[in-house]
Amino acid sequence: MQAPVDLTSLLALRRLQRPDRPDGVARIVTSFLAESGLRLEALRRAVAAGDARALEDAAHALKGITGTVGANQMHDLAMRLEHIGRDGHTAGAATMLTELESALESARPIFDRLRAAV
Amino acid sequence: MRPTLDHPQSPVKPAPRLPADAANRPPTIIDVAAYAGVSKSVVSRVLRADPAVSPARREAVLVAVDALRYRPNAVARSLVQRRTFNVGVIVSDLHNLFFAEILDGIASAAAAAGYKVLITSGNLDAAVESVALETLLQLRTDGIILAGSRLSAAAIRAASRSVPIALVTSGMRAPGVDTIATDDVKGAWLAVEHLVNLGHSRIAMVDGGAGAGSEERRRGYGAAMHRFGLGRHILVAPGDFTEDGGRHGTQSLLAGQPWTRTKTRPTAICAANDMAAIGALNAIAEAGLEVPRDVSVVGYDNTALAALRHVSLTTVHQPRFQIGEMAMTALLRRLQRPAARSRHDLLEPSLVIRQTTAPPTL
Repeated sequence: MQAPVDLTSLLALRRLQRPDRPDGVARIVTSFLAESGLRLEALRRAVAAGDARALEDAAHALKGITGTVGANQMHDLAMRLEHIGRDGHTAGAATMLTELESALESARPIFDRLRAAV
Repeated sequence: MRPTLDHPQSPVKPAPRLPADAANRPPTIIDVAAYAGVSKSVVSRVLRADPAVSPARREAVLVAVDALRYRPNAVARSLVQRRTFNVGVIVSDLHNLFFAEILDGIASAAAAAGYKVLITSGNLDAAVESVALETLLQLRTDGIILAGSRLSAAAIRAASRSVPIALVTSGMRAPGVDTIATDDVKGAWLAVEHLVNLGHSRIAMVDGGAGAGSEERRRGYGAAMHRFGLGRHILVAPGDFTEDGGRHGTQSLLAGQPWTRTKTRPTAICAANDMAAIGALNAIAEAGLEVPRDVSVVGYDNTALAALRHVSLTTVHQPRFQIGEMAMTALLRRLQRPAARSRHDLLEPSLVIRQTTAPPTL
């Protein structure tokens, strides 16, 4: 079973970082957390409007960034939301969206610690 | 056990999907993709500055590129895209700050568009410039900017059939060749008008020779002298766009050479550019005269040199950075639409009054 958050890639990247550079992993995490908020907001709007296309687009974008940082649980949920949107409806998306918001809140402290641990 | 911050000592396995031999060779785009947690195409899009890539993924790619010290293979990229993302710039004189400031504008616009700039010099010589042009053509640059070119119109037209060309400080007209210049006729007029307003009538000019824009400046000087009723005082000393040219031209003006038809030295000199004006200042000092008490001097270009406190040259301003930016923009436009009509941008000059001009005392 996959861990909800897998930091393998980010930690490997941090080990490679040049010592004279600002912490790039912290920049990635900051960008990820900010963008996740925006994508979730777009998902909420899509679900409220019953807009399957917007749901698919926002979920696809979220799937990409969660995969990049190893937020596996979010990635899985985003992928399922994308499939719902691609099927041309939004049924069941509201529940999954709630799970996604909860997954972000669970992942946030892990990323916050990673960001702080330079 | 998976590596987490709760288990900082846990063994961190190599980045997923990273080839085993990565440490023994230069990193590839695949390595960058593996470390950044994205696909190869996302890396490629980030390197092309594609705005559609999300900020978090762009950040991840850029961090991985830096950490791995990855350098994109420019040759491979150019083969795929049929572009080198290089533009060539030939400046007529690398010693003239005017061109350095033009280059700043070109480089800025080029970088913003993802282009690199290859710079070479024509060394104030059409033959040298011709070789430089051929070199850039052989390097398959995507476009070429000629700044202050001395090439013939025929040579420029021929080159423009192979690659987009933009001309800086040139009034040449050719199909498919864009030009960016300052209104040099008006610029020279402004210089003469300023000196006339100070009370000068014996206003001479040190010419720019074969340099780009010098014919227009000569024309502006002549037109203004006639307009202000000073046609009989028109006096143009041979020179070029160099310090030496300005010095020798001014020496002949001050010495009253036979060609000047007069023994009376001018009270003011319009130099073809700032470099020539510096030469004029030197010649005036060597003759035991003072600027502006004995002779006023006006330059052209308003380079950083003119603004130096100990030079403080009155001069005609050309927006050098803007000219450079516009030249690069013209090239990019033509790369998009090769068959578009030629565009000729003419910028307004203005006069910057400093301490080398004053009313005449003779």
